[in-house]
Amino acid sequence: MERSQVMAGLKEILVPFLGVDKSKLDAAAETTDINKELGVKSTDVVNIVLEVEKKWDITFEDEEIDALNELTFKSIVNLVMSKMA
Amino acid sequence: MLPRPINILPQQPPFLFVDEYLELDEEHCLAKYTFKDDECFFEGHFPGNPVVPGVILIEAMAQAGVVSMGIFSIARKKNIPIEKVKESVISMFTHLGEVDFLGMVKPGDTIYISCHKDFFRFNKFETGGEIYKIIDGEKRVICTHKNITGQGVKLKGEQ
Repeated sequence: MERSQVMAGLKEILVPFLGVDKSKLDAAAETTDINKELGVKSTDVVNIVLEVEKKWDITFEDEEIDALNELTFKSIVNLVMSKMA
Repeated sequence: MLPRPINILPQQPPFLFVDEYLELDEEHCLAKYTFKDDECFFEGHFPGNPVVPGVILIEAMAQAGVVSMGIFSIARKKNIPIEKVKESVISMFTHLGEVDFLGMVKPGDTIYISCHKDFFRFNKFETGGEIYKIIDGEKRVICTHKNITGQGVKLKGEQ
C-alpha cells in the first residue's frame, strides 16, 4: 500500500468529522494537523481510529494511540503503514 | 473490598449521586444512592412537589457506569491503585443515547443503578443499564439507557 493511498483513505474517513469546509481537507498535506487545522474534535479521535481499523483490517493498542503526540496526517499514516508492514 | 465512591469519583457532594457500590468490576456495576431531603435541586424542582430531575438520574447512571467502571478498568489495565486514576485522567461526557423514564424518584427514595459495559477501548467507555427502586420487595424500573459514553482525557503534564 502506497502512502498516498493511505492518505486518500484517511481523508475519506475524516469527511463526517470535519469542523471546517471540505476544501481544506482536499488541500491538506502530510503536515496538516487534523485537530488544529481541520477542526476534528479530540473526542472524535477514538471514532476515527475505529474507522481506520475497520477500513484496513488492523488493530491498534491503547498505548499506540496515546503515543501520538500530534495528530498530523504524517503521524497517522506512519502508524497505519507500520501496521501493514 | 470495594472502594467508596467518594474516594474514587471526581464528582463530589453536592454532585455525587453514588453512595455505595454493591458490585463493581470491568464488566458491570451495581450501586445505590439515597436522595436526601435537602438536595439542592428540590427547592426549584418543583416548589412544594419535590421530584428528582431526569438529568440527575442520567448523571447517576453516568457516575455509576462510565465513570466508575472506566476508572476501575483503567486501574486494572495500568495496574495502579484505583484511587490514583483520577489524578491522571478526567472523564468527559461525550454521548447520550436512548433514555426512557418510567417512574418518579422522590426525596428519601433509594435507587439502585445497574450498568454493564458495551465498549471500552482507548479510554472510551460505553454502557447500557437501568435505575430501579425496590418497593415491597419488588423491583420497579425507573429509567433505562442504551448508550451513555464517556471519554477519559489525560490531565496536562501526564505522560
